[in-house]
Amino acid sequence: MSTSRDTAAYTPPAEANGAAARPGQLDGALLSVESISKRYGETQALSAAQLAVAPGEVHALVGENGSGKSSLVKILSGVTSQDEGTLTLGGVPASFRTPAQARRAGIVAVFQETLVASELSVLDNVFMGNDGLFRRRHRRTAELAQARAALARIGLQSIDLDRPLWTLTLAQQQLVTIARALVQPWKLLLLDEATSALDIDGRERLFEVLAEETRGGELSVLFVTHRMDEVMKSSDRITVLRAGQTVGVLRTADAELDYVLALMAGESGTAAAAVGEEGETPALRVAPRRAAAPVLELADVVLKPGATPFDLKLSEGAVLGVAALEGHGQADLLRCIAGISRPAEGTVLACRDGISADVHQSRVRSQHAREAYRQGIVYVPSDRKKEGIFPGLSVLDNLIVPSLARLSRFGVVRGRAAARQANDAVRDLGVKTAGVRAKVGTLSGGNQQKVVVGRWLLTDPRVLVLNDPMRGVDPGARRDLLNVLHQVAEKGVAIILYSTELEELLTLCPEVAIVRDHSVTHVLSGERLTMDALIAGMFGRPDHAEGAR
Amino acid sequence: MLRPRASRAQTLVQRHGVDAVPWLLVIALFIATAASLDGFLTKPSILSVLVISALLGLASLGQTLTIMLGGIDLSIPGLMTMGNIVSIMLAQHGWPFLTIVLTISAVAIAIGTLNAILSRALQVHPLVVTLAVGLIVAGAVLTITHGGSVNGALPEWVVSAISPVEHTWFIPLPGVLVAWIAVSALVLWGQRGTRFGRLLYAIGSNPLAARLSLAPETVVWVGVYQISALMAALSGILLAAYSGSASVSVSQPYLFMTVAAVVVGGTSLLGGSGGYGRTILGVFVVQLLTVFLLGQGFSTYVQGTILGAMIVLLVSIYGRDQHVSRRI
Repeated sequence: MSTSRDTAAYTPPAEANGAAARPGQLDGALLSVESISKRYGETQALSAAQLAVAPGEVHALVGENGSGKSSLVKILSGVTSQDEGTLTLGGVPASFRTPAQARRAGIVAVFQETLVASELSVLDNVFMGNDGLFRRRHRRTAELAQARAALARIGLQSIDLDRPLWTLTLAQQQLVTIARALVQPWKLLLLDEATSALDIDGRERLFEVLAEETRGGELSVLFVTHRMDEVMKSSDRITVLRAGQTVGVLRTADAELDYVLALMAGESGTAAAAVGEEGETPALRVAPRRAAAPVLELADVVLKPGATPFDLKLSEGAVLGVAALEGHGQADLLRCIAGISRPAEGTVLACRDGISADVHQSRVRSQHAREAYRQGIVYVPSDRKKEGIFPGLSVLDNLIVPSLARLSRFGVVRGRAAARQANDAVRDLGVKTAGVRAKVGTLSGGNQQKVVVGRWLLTDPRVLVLNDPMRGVDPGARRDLLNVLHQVAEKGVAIILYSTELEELLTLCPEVAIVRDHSVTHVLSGERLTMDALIAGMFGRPDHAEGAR
Repeated sequence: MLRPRASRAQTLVQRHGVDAVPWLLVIALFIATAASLDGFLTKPSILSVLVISALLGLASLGQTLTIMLGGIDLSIPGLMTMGNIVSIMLAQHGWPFLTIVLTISAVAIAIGTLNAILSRALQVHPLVVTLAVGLIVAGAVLTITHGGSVNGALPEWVVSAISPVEHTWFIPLPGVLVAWIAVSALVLWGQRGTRFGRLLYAIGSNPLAARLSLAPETVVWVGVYQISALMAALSGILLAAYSGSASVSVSQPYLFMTVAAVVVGGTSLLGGSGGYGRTILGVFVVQLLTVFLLGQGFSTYVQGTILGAMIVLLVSIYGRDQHVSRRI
């Protein structure tokens, strides 16, 4: 493998200058980007980055948070324009001042943020921006057929096209934005972490569709993702960015995951360290404690009227993974435990010193989350931007919000104590920031997520409920978070972790509960806890998960 | 001569971003007014600018906090009218001044609570709720007083506290200015130093994240709107003392001026940023501009046009800055 690595590795531009062959560039490329630079104030987001996408290929663009991926995507899609460098599309120099110009040239982008009009129908959302301003450009029957076909291809067969978008799950909304791109005439489809809300089923289906589309040898796909499994499985070639520069262009068939991760991390070595010396992922599973006191007991819980009731128990220091396909009620499970929503039936009991308290005992609904918090149950939400961070506030202010009562006396914040705890949290979690006074909005996604988790660790929880905390987080920061969760569990905190990354569940959790049809159908542990068993359980194929319970 | 000054301003803006803009405006307007208006640089004239700034500053305090929270308070002129007319009316009936202040404060706090609860319970934007509540309050006061025809007098010491030449104890400043400085110091400390202040920023920055962080949203909303209503009513009493009589129309410009002071200072209408310090600068900009334009002989109509244009200009500058920082 190491020989192919040498041929595939990218030569720095300095050595390539003047040479006949320029690595990173292709003859007859559909899209080529040469020496593109972009600066935002003090931040040099891109410096002389290179990229070439061949016709008919699926190309992955990878890099850690802050490597310049987003800036490059924004330049390609016309959201912003470069300071220096040239773009060539189909052999013709191109520059886009607006997303509409890029789209007319054939570059259609889908972003991670589900950009939808939530009050409008599925149909209107699919054709948004593709219609005339005052009248429909297409006949309604034609639109209906086209939208239905596009949605069906990516797995939304039976959806009612008149439903308003807000009634859909996040994953379904993301699929609608992808369908919106597919109904347009495109040469290059840009997916900027557009799969982040999809489960494995949805992602596999999408990449099958993309493979079909590109098979003709004319259309190409460029996708940005943090999910390395997607990169290794579904791309033809990989371009690696680091600190605004192209540090590698590899053929996926020849590339090894460790090498890609090492390229991404560079000398800072976060991702390389994460891989471990032998390239093996060291297991972080916490051994179950003997005679550990129970902290949480779910009895006869029905998440949704008509669903099967289930029980669940958790003791101190236990780490329970939750695996599910999107929309099977895993979020409801987590939110019920944290008192944010209420189960249709059954009780969620928090246990402390042998005394159990019902989280949902109060008649005032807003008190349930407070009761859960009093019992030490805290919830880390999934959507960092929407539900997690306070973007304009400092790292310190973001960290201490739930702890303010403890950190103040007679309503006056004890500034020194707050600063000390915030500094400790930043150090323990390895948050990369200029200081606790820096605005959290200036941090990379992974570091923002560390701050959100740290906010709850500062409250000294007994049960930590995490809803897909690794979404959109680069491998280095992911590893840091996994390590932190491991340490927290060793101190006796019980953890419930839902993740769309099954690898992570397998790394950290000695036990994984499978949620299907709004009920816990299996709890896998020990030798039965394998990737195959998880997937079989999630898809409801009992023959594979036989005897798992 | 102009070039070095312009370039210095440029480096200031480069170093501090748009934070430097209100400072530069205050300085520029002060210089322009001093240069164009004879006798501006005298103690009485400076003091009178400071007194009208204190009036606007106290009235804009609540506006700042509600905007930081992601709301707005358009009932401020209504409450100022109430403070203004009711204080004179009660004085006419021979009530002691302290009783007048306490009564008006209690009513104002109740109205502020109503503003917050209606906005929260009905999930209607406070823009609509406070506009309606303000109209109801002003309408009720004018109905009771038959169009504001009251004729009382506030105590001499209150009137003198707001006249530009007096001093307070050993401090050679009018009482209202001393009060504004004290209130400002308290708020500038409180917005960072208290739990209430930090929660206010958090809720304004991201209400959903604040709710999931178990921030007591309703308590903060009620508190902020109570403060806003209270400060508006007290400013109304001060306006009565300033003009010496009750007036129906004197509070009307404060609807626009309080919002202008907050926005010109650079507090975002989206909530979660800025603070009272910026509003203090905004107050000086608004009042100095008024004085400057008056000195130039412009009518109040032209003043309104220019102030409006300045707000559009500044908001576009502030808005751009935020946009770029979010793109990274």
